[in-house]
Amino acid sequence: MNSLTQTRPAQGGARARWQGARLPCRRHHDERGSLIVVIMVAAVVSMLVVASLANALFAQDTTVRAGSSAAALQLADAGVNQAVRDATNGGTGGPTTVSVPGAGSYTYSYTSAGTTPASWHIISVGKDWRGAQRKIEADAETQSLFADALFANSGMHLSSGISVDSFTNGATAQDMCTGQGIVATDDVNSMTFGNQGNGNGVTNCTYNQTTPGYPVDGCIVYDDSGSTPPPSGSGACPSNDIIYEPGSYQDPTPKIPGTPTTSLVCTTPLSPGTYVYVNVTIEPGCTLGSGVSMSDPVNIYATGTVQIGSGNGNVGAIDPPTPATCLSYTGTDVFGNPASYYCPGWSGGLRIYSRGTSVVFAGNHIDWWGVIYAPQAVLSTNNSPQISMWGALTVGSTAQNSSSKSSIGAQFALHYDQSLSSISSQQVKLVNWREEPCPQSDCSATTP
Amino acid sequence: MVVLVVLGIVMAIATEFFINVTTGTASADVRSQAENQLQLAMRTITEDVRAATSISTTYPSACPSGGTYPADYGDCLQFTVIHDQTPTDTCTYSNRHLLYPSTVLTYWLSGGTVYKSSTNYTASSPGGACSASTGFSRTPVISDLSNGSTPLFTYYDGYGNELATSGTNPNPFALAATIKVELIEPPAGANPAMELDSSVALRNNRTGS
Repeated sequence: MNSLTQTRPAQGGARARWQGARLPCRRHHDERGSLIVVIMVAAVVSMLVVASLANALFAQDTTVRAGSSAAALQLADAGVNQAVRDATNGGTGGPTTVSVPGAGSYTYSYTSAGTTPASWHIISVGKDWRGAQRKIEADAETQSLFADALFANSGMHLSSGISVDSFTNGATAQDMCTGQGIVATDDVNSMTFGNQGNGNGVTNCTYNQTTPGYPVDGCIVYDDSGSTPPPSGSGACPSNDIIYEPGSYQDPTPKIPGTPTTSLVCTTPLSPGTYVYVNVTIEPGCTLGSGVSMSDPVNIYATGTVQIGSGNGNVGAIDPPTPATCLSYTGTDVFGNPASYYCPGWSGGLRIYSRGTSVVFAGNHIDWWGVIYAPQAVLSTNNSPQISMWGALTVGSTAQNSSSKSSIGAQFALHYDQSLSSISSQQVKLVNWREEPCPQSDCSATTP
Repeated sequence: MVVLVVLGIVMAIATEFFINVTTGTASADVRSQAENQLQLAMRTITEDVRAATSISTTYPSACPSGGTYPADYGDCLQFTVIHDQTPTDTCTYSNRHLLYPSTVLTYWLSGGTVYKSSTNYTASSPGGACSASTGFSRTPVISDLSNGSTPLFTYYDGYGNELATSGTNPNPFALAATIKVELIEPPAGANPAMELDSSVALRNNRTGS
């Protein structure tokens, strides 16, 4: 201010006088004017700060929303897992809401979607504590112990002359040949066809009399590497019916209910129930007694060898089906077997579970109905020809060396009973997992 | 005079601040918008890929012509996603799986743009055969990318090993357990190139039967 008053006189007398007379007021006006400017500057600066802050908050909000959305997905996934656990107790349930302190909540429901195999449809909605929601739908399926006609962990060697097909019943030729004669293995590198060289390349029912001929309806490979395609073409897997599944098939080891001390040579009818033996031999006369059925079967557990038939002669049919419905089937299949042999569920009445290392079909011309679950055993036929089985097999491997007369012989025919897929392994697999739109207005964990 | 000088200083500071803030804000806006664009595209892609039920081993016709698998898995991925259904809305019966109406989705990178196409498969009646119905083709998901030699998709098996596209067998890709998605925005003004990647665990491929 002092410098201002000192410069004023130089501008002229009148003006200087005027200025000098009004100096106190002018000083006051100058301060007021600067205040306005300062306020304007402060306002501009404030606006800039606010704008910057708003921008930062927006960016922060975007980041927070992304985090909330990710958290909501994890919560929804947790709901799916809990729904699987609850669903295996049976029936339909939910919507059930579970609060996760500090994270949010999830709501899930499950509804029965089928019984063969048992399956459930699951819906789960995860909600982050800030309100972000995401929705997952999936299906849980009970895994079948006999989903395929023949499963071998590794070393699936199928000689010339083998055939694998499937049936639902024996009413018509189509019912006796349903295209589900599928073989599966964990190890595609050791899968061979026609390794033994005997037989004349018998083809299964589906492709009989066709060129090229296929012994099986399809091949499933459980192999992470996928490095080697399975044998395909005439005499091997149909090239258009090869399925790759991720991971190895985890077949549970049979739990033996007790410690056996004796072996069984069965030549008389069996009643429903559970039996535990060291070795088990099934011979003619070993039939299904009164009351045996798919729902009330004969369960035989073995720790040693399982043998079907005995001796070197013709064994013939061991326990052919007797239900009136099945006996009413007329005619024969393409191999000349009676249509009554294609009796749905009959093979499910006799179930053999083994922790042993050998499953043997001993003798010629054996016709047998049953299922064998022996994931550690080698399947062999003593090179015996003309063996037919209606049922399903799960083994560790199939024998290969013909010189030891242990490999699967010529004309080994396996007819897969599709009703066996209802036999559960008690394991549940989650499939068809996917995320569905979840608008705020309609994001519920109930069946659409 | 003092007021003017002070104001001048303040204004200079304010102007400098304003310029810096404006520049920073503009830069942040560009970066934020680019990031949002990347995140939105990434969300769309990963949401679909995560639900892949099966990955095609046959090079899809939707992708740029002349490509082959496995060499071009990096910028072309086709897979099936099961979509909403009711329990009776099955297509075909299988002993192994429930089969539902599904959507075959294809993502590919061409000329800096990620495209998406889809074909829906539904049954005319419950239990009937699945047949192609509605869908859409060649819809841009995000443009102006500069991935260059960086693949859009990188594949890993169940043990975390990267699957090489230099081989001849596409089957391992069908069993991929994890797929990494990478999106790269080119430099914009003072902002350097921005890369966003996300590794997606394929939920339907994580375990065996």
